[in-house]
Amino acid sequence: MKVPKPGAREGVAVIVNLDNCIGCRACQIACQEWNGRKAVKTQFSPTFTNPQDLTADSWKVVFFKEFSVTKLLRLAEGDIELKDTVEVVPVPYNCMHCADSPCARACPVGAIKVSPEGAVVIESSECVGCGYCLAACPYDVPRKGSDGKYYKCSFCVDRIQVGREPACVEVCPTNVFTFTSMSEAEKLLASEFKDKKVYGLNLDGYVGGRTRWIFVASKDAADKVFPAMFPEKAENVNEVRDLANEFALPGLGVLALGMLGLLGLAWLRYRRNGSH
Amino acid sequence: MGATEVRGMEEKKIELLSAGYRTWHLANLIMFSLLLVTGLSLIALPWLSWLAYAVGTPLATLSGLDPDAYAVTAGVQLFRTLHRLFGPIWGAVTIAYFLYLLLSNRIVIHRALLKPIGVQLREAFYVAKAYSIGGEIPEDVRRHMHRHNVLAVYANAFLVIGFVLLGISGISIMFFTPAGDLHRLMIVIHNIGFYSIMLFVLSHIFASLHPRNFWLASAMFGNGMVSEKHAREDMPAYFNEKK
Repeated sequence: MKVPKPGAREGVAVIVNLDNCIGCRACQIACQEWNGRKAVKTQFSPTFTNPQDLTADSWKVVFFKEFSVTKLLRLAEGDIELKDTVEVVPVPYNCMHCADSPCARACPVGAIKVSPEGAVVIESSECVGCGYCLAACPYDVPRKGSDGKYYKCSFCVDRIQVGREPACVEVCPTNVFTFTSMSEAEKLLASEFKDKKVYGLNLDGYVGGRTRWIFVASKDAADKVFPAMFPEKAENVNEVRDLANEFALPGLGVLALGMLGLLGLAWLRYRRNGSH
Repeated sequence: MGATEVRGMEEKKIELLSAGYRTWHLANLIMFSLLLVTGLSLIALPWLSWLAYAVGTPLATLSGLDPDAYAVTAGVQLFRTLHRLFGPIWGAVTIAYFLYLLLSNRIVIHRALLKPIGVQLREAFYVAKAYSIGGEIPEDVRRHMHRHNVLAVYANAFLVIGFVLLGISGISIMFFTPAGDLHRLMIVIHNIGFYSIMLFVLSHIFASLHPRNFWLASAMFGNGMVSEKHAREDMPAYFNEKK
């Protein structure tokens, strides 16, 4: 049975308001717990981010983006300018669930399904571990597990199909996430979030024009986070390989046919003349 | 590949291709064919899905999966696993054999490149002409032809480049599981390595099946013996050296 894929303006969406995030990582833990992923050992590093990147068991990671800023300390005696202070912006990050997901298009065995709600899900029993989904993803999301298969956020499709919010959305204590329909999200972005900068709408056709996880932030935070986290152009990052496959395989076929023709002529000459 | 002389009743034959060399060539042929089929199923599945389906249907049934839903997946999974098994084996055997040839001073393929570049290009031109549209190779060119002609050595460059690219990227993908851009780069390098080797393979098959060389292909899949007349005509420099 073919499951209908929702259009870019249909299905569900999550608005991620970075200005509300306090970096508690409740979403990260809720994701791991709901999806039954095993704990990832904490590693010391110069940042708060832990684990350092998405893994096969950490489908959602809160990245702590650090920036150097000048702050103003207002005192009764007068303002003091504090230069080069560190500003930390927590960014809860997971699969963006593109409207037309390149990973699903790239999967050679059709193991990546798109639910009627728009959730992009890797069916691990069908995954062959080729890594083409990772190669196609402009956000570097799928991660290889110890069993050789790829894993990523499933949008908690098992929850949303029974009317519940994704685990990370439900657990957030500061209402960072707004889980809604795509059409409603568009209205909210035009009203409640109209003063904020947005990432996730008006993207390249490579991802279907938009992602279902839409990030919003005040100008200051957005100017720092968006360029560091999200590609300005969410387009095919593997053009060389695709181009090579598009031309090289047929090219080799044409070359083989050409050589076959020359061989046939050579043998004809040989039979006719009794020499080369 | 020593030129051992055997005196027959009618035609004098020499052993051009030793048993070890022929065995290695056959092993190479088998391993490369297996890698080709299993690898193509990964990068060009639309063309080979029928094969994945044919292999995967009994495999899925044996694994207790529904063959209607999982036949292609099971087939590709098997190909992928075999590709990762055959690749390192082929690489290790090839490197070991190369080291053996190197240490026992048996590598002669580079000899054609020791000629001046002008002489090389002239030889390449006449060999290409003879193989494609026919005609004889001028005597002054033929006289200096070695065990492998210049064109064969040039084609061999594709093999060496391809092998290095496949080795670096294959080891990286399998053992270091790179993420993101590095992973993408390794897949691109692996594919380019494959295309490079295919250029060599196609030219090698063309030359082997060409009437000028068929005696050599017969020897490769026979007992390694060739007629002295053929050897003297096609690789006079090498023949005279061995003599």
